[in-house]
Amino acid sequence: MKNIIFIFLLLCAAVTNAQVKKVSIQASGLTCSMCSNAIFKALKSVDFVEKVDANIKNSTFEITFKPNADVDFDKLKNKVEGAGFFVAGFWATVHFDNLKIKNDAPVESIGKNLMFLHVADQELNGDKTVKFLDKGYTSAKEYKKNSTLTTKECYKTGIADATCIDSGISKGSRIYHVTI
Amino acid sequence: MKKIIWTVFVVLFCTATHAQELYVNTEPASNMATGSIGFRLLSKLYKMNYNNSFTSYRIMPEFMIGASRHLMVHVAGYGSNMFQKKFRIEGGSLYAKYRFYSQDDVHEHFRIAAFSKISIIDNPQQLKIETKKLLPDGNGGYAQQLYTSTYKTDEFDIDGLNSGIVAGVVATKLVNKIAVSGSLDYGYRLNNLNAKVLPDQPLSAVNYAASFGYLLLPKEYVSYKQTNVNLYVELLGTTFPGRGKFYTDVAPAIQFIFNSIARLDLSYRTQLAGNTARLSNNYLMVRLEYNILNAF
Repeated sequence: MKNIIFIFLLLCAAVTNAQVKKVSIQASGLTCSMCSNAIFKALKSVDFVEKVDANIKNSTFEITFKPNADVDFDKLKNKVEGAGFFVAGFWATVHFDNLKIKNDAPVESIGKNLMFLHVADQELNGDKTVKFLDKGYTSAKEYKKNSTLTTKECYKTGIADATCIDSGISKGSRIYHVTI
Repeated sequence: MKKIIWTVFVVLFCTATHAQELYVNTEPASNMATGSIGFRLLSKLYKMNYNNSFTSYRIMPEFMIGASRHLMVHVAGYGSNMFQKKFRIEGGSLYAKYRFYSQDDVHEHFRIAAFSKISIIDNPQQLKIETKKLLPDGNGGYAQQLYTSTYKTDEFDIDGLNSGIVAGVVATKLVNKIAVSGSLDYGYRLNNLNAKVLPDQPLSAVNYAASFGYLLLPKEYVSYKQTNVNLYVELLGTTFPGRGKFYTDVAPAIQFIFNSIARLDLSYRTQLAGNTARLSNNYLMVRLEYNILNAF
């Protein structure tokens, strides 16, 4: 009986836990379909990716994932760079479940450390699309422009240092900067 | 002829709505994808200067590998009937390109890469053609005599003609959907495997290229299965420092891309200006390319 309750609780946890539903990437530096195909095939080869929809004209790729996959954003970004191009825009549609966020303060969700920038303090519920602001996740121009949004060192490194840690976020761990 | 070529340049430059950088006679600054491999089979049909006919051909199989997002490597082999009647394997080359600068934005980029190529070729330094002529034998009849004509070449072509090494840089700019590529390299002639460089052949060469590309079809991308048709014009030149010798060629090309994975290139190269002893001033070229993405 205890086991059944435990499994039930686990299932509830899986259903209610925040999860990444989809990622959209806009790549930069290409105009040809052969180049776009290189990115498409590279993204498709990632183990946790289920499906990639490519818009060749706009160089955008919509990615959905295998059930309960641990989505590694860095791996997706590195695949675009490996194909010989760069990420100009990176968005994730996430199902949030009562996540309280504060501007320029670290928070844990979707199994990742997130730092929300340029947002009002609020509680996130349901499907929201977050835009990534880290180096390599947006154009160099935009990354530089956004540097005024925070003074914390982890914006430059993507690694939580003394200024970016919180209870549960350990020093030296990967931290992503996002906005809504 | 020159006027027509310049007009084509200007028209391409002003009307290009999409640009392509998969140049036919040169390599762009961009590399192939990491973990991908590619195969090429290139065939050139040369119009030989000594008989003004398309009688020589060269075949070049090439293997390409995308080692990292910065580095790609090519290995090529060469064989032709240029210096003898029958086809003969001539040698091979190793090429590497390292992309060290990239400034990308949506639908545009500026990239610079350094490249080097070494080629080991087993060809003679001169072309010898034997011809039989009937001459009066002095007794009222005719006798057949064998004549050997020798044609020298000062051309610097490490893609099959002579051994050598080059090192240089290539920059490709794709802006407002127009792509222009320029490359500059220094070349040094090496002895062929069984024929040393002749005393009057220039050792040093400076090679330069300017390439322009234009996407003709499709008008709008909707699928990877659409066949792409690209038009190119490339200016290819070589000068020999201290020798006062040079040649500048123009090479228009048409390219078909199938399934975003295979390429068919057709090109014609001809000399615009020059004062160098060459075996051929013109060639037709056909090249097939097939890529395998995520091969390793």
